[in-house]
Amino acid sequence: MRVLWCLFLFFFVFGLQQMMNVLVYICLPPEWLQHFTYLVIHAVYLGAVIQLIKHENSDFQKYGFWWPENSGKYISISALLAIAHFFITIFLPGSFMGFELLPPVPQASLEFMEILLTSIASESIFRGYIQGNLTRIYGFLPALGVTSLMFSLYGLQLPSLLSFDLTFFFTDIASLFIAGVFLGIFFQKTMTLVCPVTFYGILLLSHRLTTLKAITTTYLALFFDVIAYGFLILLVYDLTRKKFFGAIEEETA
Amino acid sequence: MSCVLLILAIFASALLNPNFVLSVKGQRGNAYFTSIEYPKSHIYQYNKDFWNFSMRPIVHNENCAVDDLGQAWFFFKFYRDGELWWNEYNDTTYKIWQCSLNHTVKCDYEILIPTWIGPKNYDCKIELYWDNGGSLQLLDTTRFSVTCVLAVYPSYITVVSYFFVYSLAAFLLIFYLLLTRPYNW
Repeated sequence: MRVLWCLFLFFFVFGLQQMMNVLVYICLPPEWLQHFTYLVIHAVYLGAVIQLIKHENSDFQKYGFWWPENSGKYISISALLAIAHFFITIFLPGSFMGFELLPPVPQASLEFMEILLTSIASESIFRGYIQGNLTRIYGFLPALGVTSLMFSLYGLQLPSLLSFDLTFFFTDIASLFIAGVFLGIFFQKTMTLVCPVTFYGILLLSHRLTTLKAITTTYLALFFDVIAYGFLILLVYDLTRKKFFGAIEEETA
Repeated sequence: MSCVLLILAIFASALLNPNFVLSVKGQRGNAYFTSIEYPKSHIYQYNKDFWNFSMRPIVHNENCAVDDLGQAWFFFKFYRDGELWWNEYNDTTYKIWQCSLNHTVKCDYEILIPTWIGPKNYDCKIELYWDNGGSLQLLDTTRFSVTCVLAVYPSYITVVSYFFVYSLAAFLLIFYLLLTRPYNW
C-alpha cells in the first residue's frame, strides 16, 4: 500500500510539474507570474505530502521532519557542501575556459521564495516520503536508485523534447540523477530533512542568483557536476566515519 | 494519471497543430510567419563593442496580392523590450520587399547591439506589414527572446568579487564549525 501511495505522489507531482512546464513554454506568461505559479504548486506539493503522512497516522519524525539539537552544525555543513559544489562546477572550469556574465535576475525576492519552497517540497516528497518508505520496504540502495530516477524525471524540462534537443535532455536527466543520489545519501546519513533542504536550497539560490557561469560544453558541464557530487559523497561518508553525524543517532535514540 | 494524460494531450495537439511554431508565437493571417530562426543559446560579443547575431524570419503569403500577377510587398517593424527598434520601411532605402501570392520568402538580418548596455535578456517582437497600394496593414506578429552574455576572463572584477564573497562565506562556515567542535571530530 505504501508503494502505491509513493507512486501516486510521484505521478501527482510529476504530472502537475510537467503540465506547468508545458503551459509556460506555450503561453510564455510574464516572469513574475511564472515564479508565482511555481510557488503555488510547490505549496500544493508540500500540502499533499503532509496530508498523506497525516492520513497514514505516521510519525513525522520518521520521515525526517524534525529539528536536530545541533542544527547550526548541520546547516553549516550543508551550506559548506553547496558552496564547494559551486566552486567545483563554476570557478574550477571557469578558471580554465573563462566565464560568461548573464543578465541580472529581475524578480529576485519572488525567486528566493520559490527556491525556498521548491527545496522544502521536493526534499519532503523525494527524500522524506518516497525514499523513506522505499528504504523500509526494499532497502537503501534500490530505494536510492528509484528515488533518484523519479527526482530526475520530476526536475527535467519536458518542453526541451519539443525542440528535439536530446543532448540537453539526457545531460539534464543525468545531472539531476546524480544530484538525487547525493541528496539521498545525505538524507540517509543525517536522517533529517534540514540537511538536504539546506543544501538544495543554497545550491539553487547560488546558481540562480549568481550571474556567473563557466563557458563549457554541455558534456563538460556534466563532467564537472559528476566530479562535484562524487567529491561531496566522499566527504559525507568521511564525515559519517568521523562521527560528525553521530550526534543525531544519540538525539533520536 | 489524469495529469499525465493531459500532458500527452497538450503535446499531441501542439505537434499536430499546423499553426504551432516552435518557440515562436505567430498568428495566421493573409500572410504570416511560418517560423523564425534565431540563436536559442547565449549570444557572446562579436567584438569588444558589439553583440552580433543573425535572424531569419520566414514569411508565407497565402492571400495577399495587389494585381492579377499576385505581386505583394511587405516590410517588418522590429521591437526590442516593447520599444520600436528598427522600422524597415522608414530606415532603409529599399523600404519594402516582394513576396508573391502562394510564395515563401526567407529574409536575413544581422543585428548589432552595443555591449555597454551589459548582459541582458531581450524580448524581441517582429511585426509583418503589407503595403497594400500605400495603405499599410499589420498582418502578423511574432515574439522571441535572446540572451546576450559577456564572455570575461577570471581577472574580471565581477568574477573576482563573486569569488571573494563565496570564499568568505566558506571561510566563515569552516570557522564556525571548528569553533563549535562537533562530537568526536
